[in-house]
Amino acid sequence: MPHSNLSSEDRDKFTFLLDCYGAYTHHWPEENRDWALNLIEQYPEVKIVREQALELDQLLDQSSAEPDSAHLMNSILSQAPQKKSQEEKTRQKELRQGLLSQLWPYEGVWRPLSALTTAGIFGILLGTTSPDLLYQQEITEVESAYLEFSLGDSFSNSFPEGEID
Amino acid sequence: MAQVAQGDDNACRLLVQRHLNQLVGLAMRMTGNRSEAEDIAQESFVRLWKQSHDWQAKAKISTWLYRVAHNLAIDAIRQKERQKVSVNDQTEISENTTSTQRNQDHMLHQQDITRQVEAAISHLPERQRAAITLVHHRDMSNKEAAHVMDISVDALESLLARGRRSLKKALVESRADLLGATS
Repeated sequence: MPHSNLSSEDRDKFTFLLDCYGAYTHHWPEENRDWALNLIEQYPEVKIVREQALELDQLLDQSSAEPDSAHLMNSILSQAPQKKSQEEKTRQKELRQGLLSQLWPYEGVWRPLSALTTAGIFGILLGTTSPDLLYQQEITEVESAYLEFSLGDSFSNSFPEGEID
Repeated sequence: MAQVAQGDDNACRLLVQRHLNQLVGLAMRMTGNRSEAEDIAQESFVRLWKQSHDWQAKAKISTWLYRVAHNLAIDAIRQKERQKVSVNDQTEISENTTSTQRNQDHMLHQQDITRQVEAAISHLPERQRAAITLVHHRDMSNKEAAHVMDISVDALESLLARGRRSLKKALVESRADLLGATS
């Protein structure tokens, strides 16, 4: 007799499967499905147990828990991300072009832009190199004045208004 | 989801159509209150819209939505410290699910079955209700449902087993009558 070979372990495991997931095979965990289907094929008593468990699933099916809520649709969609329309894109482009044309009403915006860029680069170069020259020049003048003052023979000549004690 | 983020009307509409009723159903099962459930479903979608720009491709939209709705429902339940569904709410559930079936005898009987099943479900603790709804009514895998509820698969199985056992017990008295009507 095949059902006499059903181990208590298999019986308990199958009962637990039905307790948790019911009798619908598509609700069973994938890892147990083949094993459970083999058991049903092999043992008629397992098949009976499954058919008994099916009753509860059929009752649960009577309540789908999907109330018609279509009236909420518009309210939800009104809060969804909005796509920028083609008209809006065109308007923004026109606005940008309008601002540019106000700043430079002539054709060929690249000309004043390139002139500005060249002038800017030249200014930066000049600004970064000329302070060194000025600084070095100032240092040299001060140093030579000190040397002349301290070492020179014309010390007294530097103070024509009187002698120093 | 990229289409939703770009504001594609059709993509948004399709998404709402596919999940709205189910989300309201889950929230209603958990809170026992239709208007509260509708608020939860709306809030879930609003959060999805906000999230759409930073959406990670690996995330599943339905699971994400259910998880948000589940958490919002839990918050609502905790806030009100509601343990059981009131009689009025139970009636509301039955009326809403069967409002179009009132004039025929068979449909009346069907309504009676639904009412009894809903009443039995509503007497379960909210986590058992959620587990049964996700696995039985939403056909979620055990891993997916456990993820939605933020629990382990073992914990989910425990909730399912206890819930189904309670339902079986609650419905066993009228089982013959109920099953006779379903056939």
